[in-house]
Amino acid sequence: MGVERGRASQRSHGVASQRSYGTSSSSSHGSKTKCKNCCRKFVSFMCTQVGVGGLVVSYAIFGAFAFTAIEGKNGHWQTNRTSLIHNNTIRTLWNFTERLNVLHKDQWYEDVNSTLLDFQKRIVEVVLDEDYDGRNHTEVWNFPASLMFCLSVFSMIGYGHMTPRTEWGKIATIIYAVFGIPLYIVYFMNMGRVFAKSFKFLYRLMYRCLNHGRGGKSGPVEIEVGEEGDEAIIVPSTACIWVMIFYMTTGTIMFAEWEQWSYLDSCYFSFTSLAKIGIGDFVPGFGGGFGKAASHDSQTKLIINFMYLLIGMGLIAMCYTLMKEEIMLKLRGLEQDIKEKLYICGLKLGLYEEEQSYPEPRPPMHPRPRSVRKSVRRR
Amino acid sequence: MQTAYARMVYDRYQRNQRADGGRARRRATLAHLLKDACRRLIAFLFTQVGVCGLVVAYNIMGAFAFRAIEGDYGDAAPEEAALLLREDAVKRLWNITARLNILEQTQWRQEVTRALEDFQGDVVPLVKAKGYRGVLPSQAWSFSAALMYSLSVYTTIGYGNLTPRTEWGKIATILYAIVGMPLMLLYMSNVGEVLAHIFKFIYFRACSCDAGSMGYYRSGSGNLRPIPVTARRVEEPKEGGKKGQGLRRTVPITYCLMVIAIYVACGGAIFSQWERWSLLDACYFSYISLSTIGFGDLVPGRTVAGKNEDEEVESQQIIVTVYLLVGSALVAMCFNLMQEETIENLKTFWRRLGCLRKNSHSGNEEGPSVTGG
Repeated sequence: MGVERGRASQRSHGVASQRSYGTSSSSSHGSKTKCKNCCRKFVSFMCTQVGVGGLVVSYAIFGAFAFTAIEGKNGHWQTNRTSLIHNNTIRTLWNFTERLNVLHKDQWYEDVNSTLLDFQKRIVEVVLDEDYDGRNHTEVWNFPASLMFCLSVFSMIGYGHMTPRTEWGKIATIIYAVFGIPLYIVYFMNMGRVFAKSFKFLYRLMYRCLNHGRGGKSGPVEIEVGEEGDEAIIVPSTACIWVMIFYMTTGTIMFAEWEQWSYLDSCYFSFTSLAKIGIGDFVPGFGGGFGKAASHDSQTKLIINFMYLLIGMGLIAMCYTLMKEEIMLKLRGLEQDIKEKLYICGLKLGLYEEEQSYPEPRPPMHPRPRSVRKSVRRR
Repeated sequence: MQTAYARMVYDRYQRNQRADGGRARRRATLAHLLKDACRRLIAFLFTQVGVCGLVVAYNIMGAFAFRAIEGDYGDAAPEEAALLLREDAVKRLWNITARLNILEQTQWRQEVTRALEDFQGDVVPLVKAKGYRGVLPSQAWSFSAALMYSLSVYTTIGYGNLTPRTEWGKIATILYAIVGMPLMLLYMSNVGEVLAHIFKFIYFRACSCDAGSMGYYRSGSGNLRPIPVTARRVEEPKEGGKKGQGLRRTVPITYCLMVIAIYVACGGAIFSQWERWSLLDACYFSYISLSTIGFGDLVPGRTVAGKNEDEEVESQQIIVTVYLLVGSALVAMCFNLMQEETIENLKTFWRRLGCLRKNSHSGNEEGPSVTGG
């Protein structure tokens, strides 16, 4: 608490000193200091939560415009390829038909079947190689779809339902990712902290409300010297997990209703998106089970999906922040346990020399005797 | 990081030294060296290598599981649908041919073109929406393909060239990810730390900087030894602005980025040879995979009927899996190394701007020397 007060006073002292510096400067330096102050304020704003969130969204929008330009306008299907395939197939079929003077059904069936199989394989190849689906490029790379694409790049989800086909598109994707991923990580950490704070606040509020009703303290008695100076309650990790489950359920129901997916499919989609796996067989607005072409509806759906994912990742960051300490401690305790057991095993197997009888394994966070620390320091 | 363990080891070491009663620090007998090495080996085995082995085992287990669920008991509905479509198309073509008593090429061609377009229009959604690939699931989900799929799940790459169609497959994917992702994080942090350690060691040795301020000291036998973490924290100089004086405490970011760039380029060169992709495509694939974006448009050995020579493809996919695992460790190493450097840079940046806020909002964990707790 004392540390917090110290920090707060430091902050106000800092601001006060800034202000005094600003006002006491001479007129010739006035504009420079104003500039510097502006700069400072701008940068500090950018590094707050709102700033970073805004930065991420604007980066996504900028990327969407860029990719719409690069891939939408410059992209081209290799339509020659499909028409070439068509022509070849028709020629082959004609040759078969012409050659047989008397039309033997079985023979003809066999030949045509194999030709069609070949045709089908080539079509599949074209579809996979070039994402061909009968629409032209500008329709595919409309603004909301590009937005989703950008989101899937810098959040490292990477659905893959839409991918760059031109060379410049691929280079642009790489550069976009190189700058976007650190930005996203900063956003992630920031949002995590903001959400963690508000969640702790809400949790305490709820806890106090419930306890006032009961007229006493019951339940988890973990008390920590909190940030507001009064006794605060540590949020247990299970609460975080419940929040995530609730959020995923919301997503499941939402996507199941809109896209007419089954509940399992929506759950699978929500989970793989939030976990940043992003397999890409199901993408809202792109079908994924029914091959629907893009409709008007799908544009709003894409944007809502975008918001859902952004907020979802903030929630994951929050859980990560809240649970990290606890998990780290537990893991280290586990590691310590394992190592001590191994050491004892080693002793028994005679791998280690037993100069002194080793006492029982100490609990993980046993305070060190000061003498040893001093000797280490001198080294 | 391993404070408690370091304490324990040093404790014992101290006790040994005191028990020696002033004899030479290192009894250089063979037996002792062997036992020393053995001790270190076991400890190492159960930290870093153990985690590696665990990850590989988890991957292999996942490959077997998915192969069974999706390959052997897989859902072949799209393939059956494609078969039906093809049979219908053949029947339609026969009707066209049989109907025209005299074979007029132009009319025949017109009708056949229309029939083919319809057929194509039916096949394309099958490929895009139902994941039809032209091969039966039992062939598509070979062991190496399932290996790559499992890898793409727990590393969160998520290619999507091979997707689960059955319900059990989807549930299995979710569960596999829930267990696999923390394991992957553990692997990355552990192995990343080791690699960062090795890299720093090599770097500081190579550039022959002053080792003392780097967190190393020279022991009696003349070897570079790391100062244990507890001591290092206390001794670390509080001022970070020593860059101009030629004392580097961290590896510069450019070296880390160069390592990743070289790794991506190597992968790109290898894959462009194998898959006959252009160099740009191969580097694009390497980069997209290592950054765990993983679009899946370019995947080695993608099973399209007629494209695979089985054994080659299988070994290629296994090598790609190993490449990605090692690559993730390298990325973790770079993150480890860059963290310190980035924090230093940010601190200088903040100070230069004149902001007196020591706890910056940029979300970085700061060392104890700055926040004081």
